[in-house]
Amino acid sequence: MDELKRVDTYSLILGSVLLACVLVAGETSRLEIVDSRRAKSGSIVLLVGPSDGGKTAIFSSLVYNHAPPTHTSLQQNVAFFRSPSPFHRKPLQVVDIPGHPRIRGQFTDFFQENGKSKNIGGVKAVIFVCDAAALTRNASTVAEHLHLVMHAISNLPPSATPPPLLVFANKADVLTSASKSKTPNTALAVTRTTTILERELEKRRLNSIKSNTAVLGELGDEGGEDDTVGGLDVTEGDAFTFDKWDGGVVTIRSGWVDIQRPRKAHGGHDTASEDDEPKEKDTVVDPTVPKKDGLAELVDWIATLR
Amino acid sequence: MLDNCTISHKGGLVLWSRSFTPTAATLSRSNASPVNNLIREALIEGRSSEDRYEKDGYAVRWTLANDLELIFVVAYQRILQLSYVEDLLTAIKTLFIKLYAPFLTKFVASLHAQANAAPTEVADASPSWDFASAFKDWDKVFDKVLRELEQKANQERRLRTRQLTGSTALGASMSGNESFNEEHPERGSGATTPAKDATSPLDGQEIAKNIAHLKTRMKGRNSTSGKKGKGGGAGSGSDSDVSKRQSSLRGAKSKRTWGDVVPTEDDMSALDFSTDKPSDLPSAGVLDTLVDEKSRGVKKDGVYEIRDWEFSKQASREVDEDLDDFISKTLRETSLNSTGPTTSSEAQPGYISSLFSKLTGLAGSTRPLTQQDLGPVLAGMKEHLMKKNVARDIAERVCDGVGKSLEGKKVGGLRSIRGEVHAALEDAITRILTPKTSTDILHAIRQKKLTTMTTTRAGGESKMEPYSITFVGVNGVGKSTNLSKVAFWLLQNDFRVLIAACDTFRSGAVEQLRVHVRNLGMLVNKETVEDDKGKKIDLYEKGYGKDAAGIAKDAIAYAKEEGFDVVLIDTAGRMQDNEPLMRALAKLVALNQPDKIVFVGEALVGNEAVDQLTKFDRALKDFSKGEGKSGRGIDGMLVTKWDTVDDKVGAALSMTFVTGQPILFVGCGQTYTDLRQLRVSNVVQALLSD
Repeated sequence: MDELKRVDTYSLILGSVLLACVLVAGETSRLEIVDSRRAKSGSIVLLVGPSDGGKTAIFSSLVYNHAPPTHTSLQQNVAFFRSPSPFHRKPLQVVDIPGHPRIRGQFTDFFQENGKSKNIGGVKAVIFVCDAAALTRNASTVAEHLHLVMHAISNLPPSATPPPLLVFANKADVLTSASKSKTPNTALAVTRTTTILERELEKRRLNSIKSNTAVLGELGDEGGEDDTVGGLDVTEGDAFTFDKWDGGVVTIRSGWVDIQRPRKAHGGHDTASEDDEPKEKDTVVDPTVPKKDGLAELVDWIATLR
Repeated sequence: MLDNCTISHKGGLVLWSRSFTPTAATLSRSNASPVNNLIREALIEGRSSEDRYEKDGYAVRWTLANDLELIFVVAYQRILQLSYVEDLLTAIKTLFIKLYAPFLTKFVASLHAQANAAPTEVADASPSWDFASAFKDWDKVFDKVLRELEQKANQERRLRTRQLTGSTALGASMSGNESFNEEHPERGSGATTPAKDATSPLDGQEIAKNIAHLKTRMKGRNSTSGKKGKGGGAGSGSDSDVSKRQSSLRGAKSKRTWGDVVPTEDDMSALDFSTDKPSDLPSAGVLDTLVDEKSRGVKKDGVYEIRDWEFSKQASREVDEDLDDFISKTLRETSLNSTGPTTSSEAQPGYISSLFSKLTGLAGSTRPLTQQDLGPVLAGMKEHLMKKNVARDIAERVCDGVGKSLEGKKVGGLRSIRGEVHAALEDAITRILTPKTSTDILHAIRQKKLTTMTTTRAGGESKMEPYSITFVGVNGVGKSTNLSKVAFWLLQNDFRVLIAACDTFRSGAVEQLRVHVRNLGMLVNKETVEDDKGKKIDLYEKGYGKDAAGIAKDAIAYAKEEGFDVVLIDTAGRMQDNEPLMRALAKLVALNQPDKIVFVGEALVGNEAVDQLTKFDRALKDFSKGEGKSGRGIDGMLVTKWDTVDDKVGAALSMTFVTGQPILFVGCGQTYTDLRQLRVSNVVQALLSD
C-alpha cells in the first residue's frame, strides 16, 4: 500500500515537472524568432530590397544551394547559412524580408528597440538586393526603399555599431552590355547601379533638407518628434556618394543567381516556369562559357564580415 | 483549359508549377504572372475573402494550407466556366499534403530556423532540398487528378445538354450536341491535358451508345444503380447488347490507360460521380465499393484521420494502381464532402510533437484552429470594427480574410484564440492602411520640376510643367476648405501655388476661394518678401456656368506661363450616382491628366464610404478612357472632419480598403494649419481599442 502511494506521488511530481517543462518549451518556441535574435546577437544577415529583385532566389541559393522558381513573398524566410569564413564559427542566420511596399517595413523590427525585441546589434549585415537590369525604370522606388534602410541604419543608437550595408546589383547576367559578350557584366552592373542610386539619393537628400522648413505633423504626434526620413548625411558638403555616407560602410557588388533554365521540352508536356524571376529576355547561358558562381561576390563579402 | 497551376510556400518559393500553354508559361515567369498579381493584390492587401480573383482576363482561384504555409493556385481563362476548379484545388491540396507531409514539415521548419537547433540542421538538411526530384511523382498524380475531374465535368456537361434537348430522337440529340459544340468552341481545342485531348470524337455510334447509356442511368437512378457494381444496370432488354459490349470490353482491358486512348463507355460510367449529389445518395452497396476498408483511416475523437501514405510502396507498377486508388479515393471524398466541411484535411500530421501535443493538450493548447473556434471570435471582431464605423462589408471581408489566414494554424502555449485573432487582425489592418505608393508629394513635385526643367533646357525654354492636383468628392465634404489648407502647406514649402476655381456651379464657390487666396497671400507676405517672380499664390477663375474642364486647362497653361509650381484644381461636389456630372468630371481628368486625383471624403461617413469611392473610382476610370489611354482612377484620399469622430476612425480603413490607395492628408480643424499626415499605427490603435 505504501509502495503504491509512493509511486503515485513520484509520478505526480514527475508529471507536474514535465508539464511545467512543456509549458515553458511551448512558450519559448512561440517566441522563436524574437528570442533567437536575442540569443544569437550579431549573427543576422538581412536581405532587403524591392519586390522582384531576387531576394528569395538569393536566399534559396545560399541556404539550399539551388534556386527554384519564386514569386512575391508573403512572409519572411529565416534559415541558417554556413559562411566559408573561418571567423564565423556559428552559422549565420539569413533573413529574407518581403519587398512588397505594404510589408517591407518588417525590416525595421530588427532595428527598433521596442518591448519585445531588444535586438539592436543582432544584425550583422544588411544586403540590399536590387534588379540591375530594371533599375533604370524604377530607380526612384528603389531609391526610396534604400533610403528607408539607410535611415534605419543611421538612426541606430550610438551604442550599437551600424551593420555594414551591401548593395547587391542582382541579375547581372541579363544586363544588356555593349560588348555583347555572353559573360555577365558585373562591372557594368556595379557602375550603373552606383550612379543611378547615388543620383536618386542625392535628390532625396536635397528634398529632405529643403522640406525641413514645414513638415506636416502626424496625427497623435504630440511629442513633436521629428519623423522625416533623413539619414543621408554626408561627411562633406557636396553631393551624396556612398563613400561619403555618414551612417556606415556601403559596398556595392554585383552578381546573379544561377536559376534553373527551362529544360528542353521533352515528351508531351513541358515543365515550364522554371525561371525564378521576371526576365525581359531569356538569355540562355552558353554552355561553352565556363560556369561562374554568380553569388561568389556576395559570399566573399559575407566572409569578410567580422 | 487550365493555364497554370502552382504550389508554393508563402515565403515565395515555388515548390511545383505547371503551365499548360506556351503563353501561360512565359507569363508565369514574368513579373505580372497571375500568381504574383494574386499575392500582391489579393493576399497582401488582405482581400482573400473573395474566393475568386480576376485580372487581365485570367480567373485565379486559390486555397491556403496554413499549417504548412502553402498556397495552391489555379489560373485559367476567365471566359471559361470550369466547374471543377474548386474540386481540383481541394483534391490537390489534400493529396499533396498527404503525399509529402514529412518533407513539407521539414522544409517549412527549415524556413523558420531557430538558433538553438542551428549547427546540426545546417549540416544534415542542405543536400535534400531539390524540389524537382522531391516532387517528381507529383506530376503523375496531378495529371490523373486533373483528368479524372475533367472527364467528370465533361460528362456532367454532356448530360446536362442531353437533358436539355430532351429524350427525343437521335437527330435532336445530335443537333443538341452540335449546338453545344458551337457554344463552347474552346472545349475541343482547349486541350488542357498536355498529353492528349480527353474528349472523344462524337460519331453516330458513340452517340447511340451514350443515349443507351443515358437511358440505363435514368432507369437505374431510382433503384439501386449498379454503375460501379458488376454488370448492374443491365436490367432492360433494349440495353442488353450494350452491356454485353461493355462486359466484353471489360474483359479485354488489361490495365488502366489514362487519356492515351479514347475513353470507353466503361471508363466514363466508372468516372461519373454525378449521382453523388446530396439529392440522391448512393445506396449502401455502392458505398461499400467506395470505401476500401483496408486503407480506411482511423476515427479518433470525432476527427477522421486518413491513413498516412506509405512511401515504401512507391516504385513498381503496383504502386501505380495504389496511387490510382488513393487518388480516386480522395476525389470521392472531396465530392462527398463538398457539401459539408472537409474533415479529412484537418487530419493532424503525426510528427514528433504528438507526445507533446497530448501533454500540452491538458493545458488546452497546440491544436490547429478550426472554423468553429474562430467563428465567434471573428464575429465579435466584426462587431467591434463596425462600432468603429468601418463599413459593414469591409469589416466582413477583413474578418473573413483574417479567418482564412488563421484556419488550420496551430496555436501553441498559453495564447488564447482571441489573442491570436487580435494579432492577426492588427496585422491585416496595418497592411491595408500602409501605403503601397509613395505619399511624399513634395518630393514628387520637385521631381517633376527637375525632370521637366532638364528636358526643356535643351529646347531653350526654361518653363516647367506645373504639378497639378485635382480635388474631387461629394457635396459638402470640405473640398475647398482643405484645398486651401494644402495650399498653405505648399506655400510653407516655398512653392508657388495657383488655385483653379473649377466649381462653376455652386454660388459663392469662387468667392470662397478668393477669400482663401487673399488670406493666404497676406499670411505668406507677412513671412517672406514677395520675390521677383510675382505672386506666390493666385486664383484662376472664369466665373460661373462655364465648362470646368476648359477652365482647368487654361489654368494649367497660365501656371506654366507664369511659373507656378503647383496647380490645385477645385471641382464642384457631386453625387456619385449622377452620371452626367461624373462624365463631366472624367472629361476634366482626361483633358488635363492631373498628376494626382485626390478624393475628399468625410471621416463621418459609414457604409456610404464604400459606395462613394467605388463609384467615383469606377466612373473616372470608365469615362476618362481615351484612345490608347487607360482611364485614371483615384490616386489618394484626403479625409476631412477627423476631429469630429474621436476614435471611430473606421472610414479610414473602409476608404483604403476599397481603393488600395493611401490617405494623403487628414483634415482635423478649422485653421490652415489643421492638416495632418496619417500615422498608420495610430489608426490601428484607435480601431482596435475598446
